[in-house]
Amino acid sequence: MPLRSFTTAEVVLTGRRRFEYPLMILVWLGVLSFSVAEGTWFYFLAGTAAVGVNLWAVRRRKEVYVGRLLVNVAVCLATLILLLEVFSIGLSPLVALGHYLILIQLCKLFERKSNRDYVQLLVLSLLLLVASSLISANYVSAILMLTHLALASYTTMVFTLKRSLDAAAEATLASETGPLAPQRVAWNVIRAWPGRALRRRLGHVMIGILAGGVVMFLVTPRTSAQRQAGPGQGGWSVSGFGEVIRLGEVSEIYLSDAVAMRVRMQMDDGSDFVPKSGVYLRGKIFDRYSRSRWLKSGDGEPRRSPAVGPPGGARVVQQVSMSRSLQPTVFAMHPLVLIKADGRVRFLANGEIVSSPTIQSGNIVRYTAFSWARPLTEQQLRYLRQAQLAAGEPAMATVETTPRLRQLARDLCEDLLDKRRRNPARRDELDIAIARRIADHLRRRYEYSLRLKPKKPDDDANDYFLFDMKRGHCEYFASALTAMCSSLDIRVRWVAGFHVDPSSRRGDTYVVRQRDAHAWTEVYTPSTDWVIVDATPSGGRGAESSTWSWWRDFWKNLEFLWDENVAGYDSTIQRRLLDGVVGFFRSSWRVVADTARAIRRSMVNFLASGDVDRVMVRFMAGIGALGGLIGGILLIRLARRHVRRRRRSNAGLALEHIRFVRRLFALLEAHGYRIVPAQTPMEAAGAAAKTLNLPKDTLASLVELYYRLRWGRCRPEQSQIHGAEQQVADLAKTLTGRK
Amino acid sequence: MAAKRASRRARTITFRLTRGGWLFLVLSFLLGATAGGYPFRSYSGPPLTFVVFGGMMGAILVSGILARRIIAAVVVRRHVPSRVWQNQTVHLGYVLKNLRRRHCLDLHIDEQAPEGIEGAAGYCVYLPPRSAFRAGGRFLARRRGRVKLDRIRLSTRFPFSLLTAGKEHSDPASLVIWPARGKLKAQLLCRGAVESSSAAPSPAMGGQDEFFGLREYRPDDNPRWIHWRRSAARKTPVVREMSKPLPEILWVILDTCGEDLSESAMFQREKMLRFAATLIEHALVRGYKVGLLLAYAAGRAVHHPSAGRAHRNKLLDALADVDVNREHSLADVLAGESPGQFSQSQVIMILPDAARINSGVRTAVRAACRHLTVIDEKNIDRVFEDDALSESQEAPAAEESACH
Repeated sequence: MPLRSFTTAEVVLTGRRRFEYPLMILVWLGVLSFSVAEGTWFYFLAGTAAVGVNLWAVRRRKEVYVGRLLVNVAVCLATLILLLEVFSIGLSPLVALGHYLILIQLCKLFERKSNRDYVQLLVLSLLLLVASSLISANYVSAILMLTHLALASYTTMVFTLKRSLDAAAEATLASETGPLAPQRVAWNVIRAWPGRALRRRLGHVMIGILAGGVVMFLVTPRTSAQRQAGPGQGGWSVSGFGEVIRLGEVSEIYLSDAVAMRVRMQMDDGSDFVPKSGVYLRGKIFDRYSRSRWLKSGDGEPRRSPAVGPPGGARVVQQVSMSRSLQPTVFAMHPLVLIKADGRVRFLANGEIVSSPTIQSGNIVRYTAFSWARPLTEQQLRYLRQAQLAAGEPAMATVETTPRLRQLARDLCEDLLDKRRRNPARRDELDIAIARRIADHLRRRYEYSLRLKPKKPDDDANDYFLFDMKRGHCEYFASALTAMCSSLDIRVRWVAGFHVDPSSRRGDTYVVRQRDAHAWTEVYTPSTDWVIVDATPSGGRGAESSTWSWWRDFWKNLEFLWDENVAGYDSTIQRRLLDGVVGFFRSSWRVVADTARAIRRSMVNFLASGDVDRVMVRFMAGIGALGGLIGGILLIRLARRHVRRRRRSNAGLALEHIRFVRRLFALLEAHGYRIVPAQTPMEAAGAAAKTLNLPKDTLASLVELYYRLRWGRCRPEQSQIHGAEQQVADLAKTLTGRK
Repeated sequence: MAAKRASRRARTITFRLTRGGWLFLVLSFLLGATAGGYPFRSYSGPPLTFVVFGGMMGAILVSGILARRIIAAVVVRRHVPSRVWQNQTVHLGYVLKNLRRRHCLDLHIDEQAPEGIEGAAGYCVYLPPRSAFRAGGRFLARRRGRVKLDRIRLSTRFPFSLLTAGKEHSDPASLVIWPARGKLKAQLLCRGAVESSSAAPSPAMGGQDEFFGLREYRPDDNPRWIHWRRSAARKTPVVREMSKPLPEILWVILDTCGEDLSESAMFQREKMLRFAATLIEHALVRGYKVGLLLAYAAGRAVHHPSAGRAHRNKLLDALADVDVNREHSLADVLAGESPGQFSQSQVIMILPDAARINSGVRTAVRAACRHLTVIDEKNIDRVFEDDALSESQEAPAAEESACH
């Protein structure tokens, strides 16, 4: 592989090295951002090696290149790879195209580069950036993309100067008849490299580009193809959010503050929805317990809709922005009536709702759920009953229980069981009462803890919790309650979801964090539908959070924010943002108008009756503050100007510093040398040295120091000035001694 | 009103997208269409594509704003020599002054449409705030004549070469391009324009009397002028003979009249002009007083013999100004002149065809002057070696017209 050294003209005239450094890094950054977006690293490693070799060469003012034929063969091979990836491997055309762009760039890196090749490299890099933006929307890609944009801007600015320098040098060389030294030829093109000016301009350019990007991102019309789904409509079947819950295996649980979802809740008439206690967002439903594991017995068949549509009534609208990691489970309050989403959702026979994995391209799943507000009306209950019948009568949970667990349950609710036996008509009411009593017992007698001892493999988790460990977290409490109720012939199920505390409410939005994940029990009676019974006591602390976990949560929250507001930015958020902006301006205008009216009224009062009210005082104080602010700014500016002038004058020359020159020439004149006005100081010193027979070097060094101080913007050192004064004094002594 | 409008136009900053800018714009719109999901998809594209699209549009906007600010901050003035030789590199100076506190980069200076000069442009990479810079421009003056320079275009492509912002500055100047200089092959100037005195030096003090030689004493000679030292070795005394040199005068009579406007004829005429310019320059350098007689389409022009820098400029300017003259022949030119003014001077007549000159006129001039030389198309190559660049430029054209 040949190595070519840059010519002097290339180095001196065109500033080639100054351009090639950022260009190489730009190419590397493009490859990196595409690799991050795609998630594979082979091309990144290849790109790093190629760029490294080129950087090494540039550092040594050389160029690595191969013959054009080889480059063309390599480009043909890259094209072949593209075709293979698309048609044989079945890779996405966009990803394959990205690989192709990388390979072409690598080929170009090993070509003898002219300005045309540089343009091609820049364009390829820009196309790679576009490809990265098309295949990924995560924030790491975004950060890399911004860095890439900044570097691309800088490189293009340098390239603009390089091209013009080339053209100027070429034009200058063309009008010369013979070869000249580059420095001489380029007397009008070579200046100090404006690195600082370029960097400052880069700041302005990036502000403009980012402003353009943000504005375009915010205002461009977006689509939001929401589809409606009601109970019974089919869709995709996928797994996720824990298909099996294993109890007694994890000993310690860390409560993460990472945001899992944001839920905006309000009534469908626009009024606030204010729950008395927390909000339970139902997710997964389990109704089979075996060997310390909760499982689902349903086959995932979609539920059929009842013949009639749902009756009206107050509905709670839940606009949910959920992390995609929680898919396909859809979380919503029970009873859910309607759901609108950017994809398809399916109501399973067990009451669970799942969504399509491709519900949205970003990492945020957004849907709107409509649930009936409690208490339910007769019509609503009837509809729910019909829906339940259409799906099949809810079966009893299949729960393996130990004898002492069953005994404990019976002991706790002996009186209620007796009543239930005697009054079968009140069974619904008594079933719920039994569940609540057991839940109450568990809350009172058992301790909430996230630091547990793992059970022995053969032990039953419920038994271990109730009789040995006697402490646990929500899963244990819910599991024990469900098992005990089930042993008493009550239709129950174990439900996992989120329990949102009212304290996490911000305006009309609940911020649901991962620590809000919860498990509870639901009791079914035909007259009440599913009723939530929560046996978990409040309190309990998770594992100690470390700095690392704090950072992890912070990063995850950042990711959620990004996914929610940037990656998942759609027409809904756009409309909300627009409403917010309009609302802000309206309220601001209202405030301004009210203030103006109040001031006017106050002024009228003041002029009419001389009253100085509170508004007037505030107004005057405001004017005073504004005046003070303006005055302060002016003072600061004046002070800065003064400092700048002072600095400039300091950077220049204080008169006392050049006193030695005045003394020198006064001395020369005093001893008979006549200074001609046309002479420069150096000429005068030379002539005086000859005339008065003085050491020429001494006089020259004195004048040189004067030049440096006077024109060289050199800050004099005290020792220099002192030395010069001493030399002048010595000269004076010499001349006086001669007399 | 028109002047005001023109000056307003000159102050206006204009923008023009470069080829790269057009490509960039097309690419941006394609990306925008992809991001917006048009026309094939019903969903919006990935969110970052909107940012990239906006960034690209922002880049174009920022290019315009930055370039405008740069151009608005700089004023430019031209430093130009008043007279130059044809086919020689001319150095122009453009003084750029940054009036604002902002960094200005990539400043191009171009002359606006002057005929006869090529590639007059300057460039400045970087002009710091409140500073000045003299950018040099070089060009070759290809055509003789007067070039009026008026507008200078200051432009920049900074930062991305996507668009060019430019402003025209008005700075009128004129440049006279003299005919190119060649080389004289033969010695055309005849030295010895000397008038012998009657031996005695001139009575005027400080005259230009020079020692001419010695001759034998004649009876009526003043004995004071006897050169005694030399006479000592001779039988007859010798006296010093003094001379008073007359000024050396050259008249160049140029026939510019020609009906034939073919390229070859024009080439020959230009060649004669170049020869005349070379001759005049040569004679003036050698201390001749040179006069010039020629005619323009508007009438004849007479420049009486003189010397000095100003006179040289006047003569060469006159040659630079020669236009297409079909009316005033050499006879017309000479008709107004008395042959007596050519007395004691050398006359060189430069004309396309020696046969065209009236024999009476020729005889009169010859009788009046000390020496007459006639140079025409046939013998010009014998005495004049043309400027290499002019010859290489115009010879193909001449060959072409000869073929026709």
